Amino acid sequence: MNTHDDLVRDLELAYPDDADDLRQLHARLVEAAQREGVLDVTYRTIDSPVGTLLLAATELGLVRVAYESENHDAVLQHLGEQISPRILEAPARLGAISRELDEYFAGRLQTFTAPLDRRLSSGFRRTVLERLTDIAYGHTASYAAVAELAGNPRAVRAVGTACATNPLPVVVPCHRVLRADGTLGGYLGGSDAKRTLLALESAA
Amino acid sequence: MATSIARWSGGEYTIDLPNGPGNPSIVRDRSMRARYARARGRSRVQSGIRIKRSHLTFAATETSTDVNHNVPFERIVAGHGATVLRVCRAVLDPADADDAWSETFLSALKAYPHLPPGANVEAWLVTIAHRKAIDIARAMARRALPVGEVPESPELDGTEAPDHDLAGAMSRLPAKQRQVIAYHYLAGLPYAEIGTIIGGSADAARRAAADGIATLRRTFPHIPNRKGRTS
Repeated sequence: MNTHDDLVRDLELAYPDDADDLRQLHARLVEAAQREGVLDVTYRTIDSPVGTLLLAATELGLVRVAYESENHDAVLQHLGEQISPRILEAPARLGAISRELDEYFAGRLQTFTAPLDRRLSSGFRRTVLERLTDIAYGHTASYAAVAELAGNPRAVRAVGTACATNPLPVVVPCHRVLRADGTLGGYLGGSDAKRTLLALESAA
Repeated sequence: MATSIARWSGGEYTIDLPNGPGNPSIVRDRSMRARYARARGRSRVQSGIRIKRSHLTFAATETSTDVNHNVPFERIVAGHGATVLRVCRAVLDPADADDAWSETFLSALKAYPHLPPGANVEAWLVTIAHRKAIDIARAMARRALPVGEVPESPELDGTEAPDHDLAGAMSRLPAKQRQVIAYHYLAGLPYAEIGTIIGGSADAARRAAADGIATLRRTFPHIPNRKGRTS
């Protein structure tokens, strides 16, 4: 008979780790951390027609949208390295953008107004991504056209890279960029997701 | 969020993670221990097989340098929140335990970016919790009105749940014995580490635990032998 294990088990029964208590304590921690300004990144997930999306925000705004195929755990780890490891799951700070996304997926919203934090993209890629909002809802543009919009008509491949590494897919509409021949082209969320978004926008 | 599955296979735990089975950087991560503990609890119930707790400790913290580096704090809370709550409840009264847990994780969050890579996160959290518990106990003592007579400990009438009895018996132990038992048996820390946390040698910590357990056993003879338990 193993006394050590028995005592461990008895103590664990005597002091249960109630899930509800832990949820409440977690909420209290989020509140206190925000009050003291030590919560650098918050995140939540939402269900959508293109799968579960991870949304992450800093105090400046939405900083990352990630498809499931990007591996949400890996994305969060990356945010820990690139921004700060002070990361907690906290839906409240993402309330506005979550509601906008719900409206968007319901076909009732065409332009996102929630603030964005674009710190994860820089240089020409950032210029490209900032120009993407010039492509109106329900419209598409070719990679070459976007290169021209971004002020460098020959940088077609760089536009492709910028789209493929868009930290804010759906909200920053890289899905509206197609090949010159009108075929779909690649998409970081997979071609099914790109097709779904384009169909949603053309139906509305 | 993605789930991990811990499997026991003859002396080793392997963990399946989204990025592939047995990802060594995660296997070594002590923050995952609470999940394994739960998985182990289930397997015990299902199979009746007893697994020695000593086998469950991940020994590789000394070989890994960046295991905990920049891991999102959410994972620290998910991995250690339950254990720290048990520890706080074991060393403080229930209402104070919640405050201690909250203050521990808020302090930890503040200091987290400066935690050295490869640090033993659970020992670090227990160290913070220990200090917070002392602060709270002191504040309580200052607020408490002096009483002429120390109230009697409530007598056991045999109607309480046995698990509550153990918590009650723990609460009547001297503070140091409670702490050492909580840190060793609930947090799984070695006595040397506990000595550093509470101030003193490993041997002194081991003796305090032994004394405390001897007292608990006098009240609860079933502790060393669960077969004698009828409840």
